[in-house]
Amino acid sequence: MIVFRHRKSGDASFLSHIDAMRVLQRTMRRMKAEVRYSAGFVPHMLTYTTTPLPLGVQSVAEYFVADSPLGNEEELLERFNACAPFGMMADFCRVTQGNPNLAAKVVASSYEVKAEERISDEVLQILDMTEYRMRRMKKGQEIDEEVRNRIFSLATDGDTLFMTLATGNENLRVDSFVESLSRFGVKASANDIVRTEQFASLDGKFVAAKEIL
Amino acid sequence: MTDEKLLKKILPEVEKPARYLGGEFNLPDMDKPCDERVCLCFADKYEVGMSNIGLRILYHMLNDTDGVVCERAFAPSVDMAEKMRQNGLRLFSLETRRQFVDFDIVGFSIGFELAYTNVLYMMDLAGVPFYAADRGEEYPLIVAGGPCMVNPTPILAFFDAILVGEGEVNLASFVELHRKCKAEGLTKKEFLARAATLEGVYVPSIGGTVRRAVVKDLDKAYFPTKILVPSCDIVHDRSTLELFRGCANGCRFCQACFYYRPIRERKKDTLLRQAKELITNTGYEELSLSSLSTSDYSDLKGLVDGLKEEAEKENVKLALPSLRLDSFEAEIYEDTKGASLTFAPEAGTQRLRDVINKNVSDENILSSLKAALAHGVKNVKLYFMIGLPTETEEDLNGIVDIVKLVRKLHAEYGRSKLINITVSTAVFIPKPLTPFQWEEQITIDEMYAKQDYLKRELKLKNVKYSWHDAKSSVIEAALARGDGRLSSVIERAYRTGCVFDSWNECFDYDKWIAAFAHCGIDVKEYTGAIPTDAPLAWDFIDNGVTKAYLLKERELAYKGVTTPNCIGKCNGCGASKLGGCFK
Repeated sequence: MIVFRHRKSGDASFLSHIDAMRVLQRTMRRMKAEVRYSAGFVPHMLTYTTTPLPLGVQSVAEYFVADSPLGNEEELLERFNACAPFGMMADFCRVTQGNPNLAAKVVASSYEVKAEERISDEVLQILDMTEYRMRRMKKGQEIDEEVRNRIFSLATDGDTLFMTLATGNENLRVDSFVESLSRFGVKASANDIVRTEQFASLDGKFVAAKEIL
Repeated sequence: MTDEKLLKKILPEVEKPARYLGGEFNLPDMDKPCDERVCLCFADKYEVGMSNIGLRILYHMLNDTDGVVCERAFAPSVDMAEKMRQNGLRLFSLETRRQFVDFDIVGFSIGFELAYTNVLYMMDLAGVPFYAADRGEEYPLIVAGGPCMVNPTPILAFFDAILVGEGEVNLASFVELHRKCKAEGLTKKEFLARAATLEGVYVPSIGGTVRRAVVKDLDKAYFPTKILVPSCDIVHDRSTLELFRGCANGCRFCQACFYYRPIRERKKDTLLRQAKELITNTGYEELSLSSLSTSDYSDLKGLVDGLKEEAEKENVKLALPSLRLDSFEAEIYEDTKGASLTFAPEAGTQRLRDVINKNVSDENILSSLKAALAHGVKNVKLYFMIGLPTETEEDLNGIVDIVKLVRKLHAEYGRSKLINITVSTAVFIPKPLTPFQWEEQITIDEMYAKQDYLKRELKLKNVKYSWHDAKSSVIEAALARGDGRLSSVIERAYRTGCVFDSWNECFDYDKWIAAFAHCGIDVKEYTGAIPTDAPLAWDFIDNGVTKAYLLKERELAYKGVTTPNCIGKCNGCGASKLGGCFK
């Protein structure tokens, strides 16, 4: 397997997950990577990814896995970047023996949010709360949910908010969460959010996904 | 320039934001030194426009020209337009988010009459006056090209210039001349006076006549192989090879057949090289062939064999378009492992097929279907037209008979267990530059009656019948043969809410009829028969094919006499005078 950590930044952040997958698969074709295909009537490229980002949210730490034989990591990274569109470039490549199954292992993501104004430390009160409720849209309907146990860390520095939120099966939608922070005066849109890393849980600690490969 | 921050704030709130972003793979260098900026516009959504091979060619051609930068703009969806208006954003180019006023030339590619209101929609969003006469030096030159220029009269008033024919010739020379004139400090009016002398360029404010520009040597003509690869799904999301232009068959209802003449091919080796480059440069999973009648390509078998080899090596699917009934090649078909077959007999009886010059016999249909079914075809798509000149009830019954024949043949020869038959009927629209350009269109009531009849008769197991909207066919017919009076109708229709008329869910017949009425015009004036000696709105354009030839073809149609395919022998349509006819 080949694992790439790539960006999804700038205009590329507005690509839907399906579109982004297609872009990455075409990147693999252009770089002439030997990716395996499914054996069905309509063969499709065997590729894997982690939890999709909401539309507009940027990232410098998306993981894309292709079912491909071994290769030279440095050379693969160079070829990937020569064939990927701007905004989807990779900064890391690792060749693994088996499928790292990152979709199941990733449990948290760190984010940076650049707000329109300086962020008040009031937002950190969330960490002292036993319950934090927010509203968000789900399948066209507004729902109210309790998400406190999916907020792992919050910190501020001027107009920037740093946070670690649940990702994966117990996901916390980052754009909805940031929107809910308007009650603390935080003004930011989806495109002001950048996912900076994804983490797996190892012995009770968060470890960057690239470190468990 | 567009407010980037504002744009990115509204994008998550609209459907498919990737439509408005650009940034596709293989994007040309937008920062190169340039003294001429062109914005090519397509009057429909991104996913439709990006599938257009003409726009693709011209976009890359201009960007491969030193000193010229070409960008794109498409018609934003209604949800995006609403957000843009709410936030005070003007229509912008995808590449650098420039507005229309930041360009030297804005060119619209118009391939369909029902896109006319979209042109005004885009101009409106761009904040430019609709009428050329109202646009001063502060506005760019706004020009139109594309297949609708076969009769641009209804939209002449909106444009500074009309580019008739192939953009590789007239757009290239128009842009080049403008660069020179700009350097000389000429005014718009002075430039247009010079531009009117270019091949295939018509300046409405000057008038006169124009001859359609064509590429003389298609094999050597510009064709991009490092093309944009859209990041979001588009209608035809694949690489496309253009085999040839023009069509030798001469179906008498078909505008494309006559409009794209003379017939010019690309050589097999050129196409194989282009295919290889496209596969390498794009990463597309599919490669398709484009032409009006792929079966007529001089070495189709050789080409498909070569492409197949390359495609298999690169894990690319080779998608063949529908082959004409009379040249169905089972071997090619089997090689490409298709599971469906598309046939377009157009008419149900031999008599009517002779009238329209669809040179396909009952025997052709029978043998082709037998072969296809024996090769395991499971899906058969059949395309017909209703309302063709001289059509009778017997011809409608003929459609039903062909469908029943497919079912019978499947029972006898079919290799697959199941068969799905899809029957589609379009309504005949008399189009300029065809032998049927003088014909009347049947009334809406007649259209409905014929469609209802077929709905009843085709209620058969495994048969699905779909039909083209009758009402939009009427408006399309009126605009296709329209004159200058229709500019105000188009404007009125747009102002009362008509936009994306080619999308069934958006088309509003009542608004169109109200727009005609508002302007004191009866739509029937444009859908009725035209005397053959009456002047036509498109007479000022020399499209190659002569009026005398079209009249002769019309006479033959009424006698039920066919004209053979012109590959073997020139039929003297007149297009060869434009240069390059390959036989």
